[in-house]
Amino acid sequence: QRCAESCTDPVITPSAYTTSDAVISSESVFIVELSLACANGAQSVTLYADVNGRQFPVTRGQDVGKYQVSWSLPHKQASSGTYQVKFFDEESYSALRKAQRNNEDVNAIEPLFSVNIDHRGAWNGPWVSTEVVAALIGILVYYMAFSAKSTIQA
Amino acid sequence: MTKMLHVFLVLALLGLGSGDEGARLLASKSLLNRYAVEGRDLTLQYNIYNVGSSAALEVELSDDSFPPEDFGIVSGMLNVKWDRIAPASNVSHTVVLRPLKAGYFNFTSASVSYLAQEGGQVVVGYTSAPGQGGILAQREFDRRFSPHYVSSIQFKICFFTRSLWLALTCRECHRPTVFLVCNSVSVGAQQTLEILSDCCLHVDHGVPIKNGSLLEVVMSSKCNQLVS
Repeated sequence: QRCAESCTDPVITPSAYTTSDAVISSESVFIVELSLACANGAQSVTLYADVNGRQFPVTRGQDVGKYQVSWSLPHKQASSGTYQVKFFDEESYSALRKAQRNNEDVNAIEPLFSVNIDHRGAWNGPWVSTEVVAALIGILVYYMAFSAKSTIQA
Repeated sequence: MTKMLHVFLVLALLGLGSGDEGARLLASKSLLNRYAVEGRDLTLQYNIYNVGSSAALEVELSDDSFPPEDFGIVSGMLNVKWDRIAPASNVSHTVVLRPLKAGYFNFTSASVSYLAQEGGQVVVGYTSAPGQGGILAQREFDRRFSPHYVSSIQFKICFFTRSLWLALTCRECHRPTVFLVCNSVSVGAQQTLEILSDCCLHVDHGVPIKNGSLLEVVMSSKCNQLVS
């Protein structure tokens, strides 16, 4: 087993993507990419992410220090708002899993760092379909014409 | 005898060693898009399942099937590594691309390489391939699916109001009312006439006739009265 490298004083440059168009995509996806620099120069740190109780391993890119975590949700479950992504190294991750197994407070385990991403929600198309709007306006126009006609004829 | 036993033991150990222990990865690549549109986000998801009995080490996913001149990267990386994937577990990876050209594109497999066991040989496998798909041009997609809210509402108002008007004021005519110049047509002659009435649903033998359609009629002795 390779020894897990630990990272001191992590400095991160994150960028995030969330699905914004639900018409064209069948699910909402969340992607967090980041560059990590450690004060002790550690280069292959194994990271794990936790988002709202779901845990994912973090992938490493080809370039040193580049990491990515991604997950997907059906559109209905992907509510808009802020998602907090906590990143754990090997040590803190095993502490987290242990706390979960023993039903201890998982929020007590300190992540290595965390990233907040904003999801604006995916656009599902217009709220009211154009047919409904057209029908309503059409009825209104007809009603106005009819009442105008009655007034003239009366 | 002992020599035979030794040989047997060695063979037995070799057999165990190259048995079905170790990791085995199955990988899929799928498009999370209902439609692929030029200039819009195209979401790809890779799922890797370890169906083996031990963890897969140094797993590398590499997708070289998207030429940079045909696809731009919006988010995510196409070459990634996992240090280990535990047995009976799966991992997922997502990348968002943007097609730069419309037309057909063959979405082929990505490759996955890993070590089935510590210090073992590198195993190379491939993900499933989504296959060939069409990337719609921006204009085609907008024409078909974009609401064009205002203009589409205008059109639909006109259509709806007119349909409502017709539905409420039209009556059924059992004979077509057509305006003819009487002396140009002789009685008994068969003619093909175009039904030119505006607000009347013509009924021919119980079947409504569409406005603007052609009808074979036979002239009767009176003008404006036709027996079809």
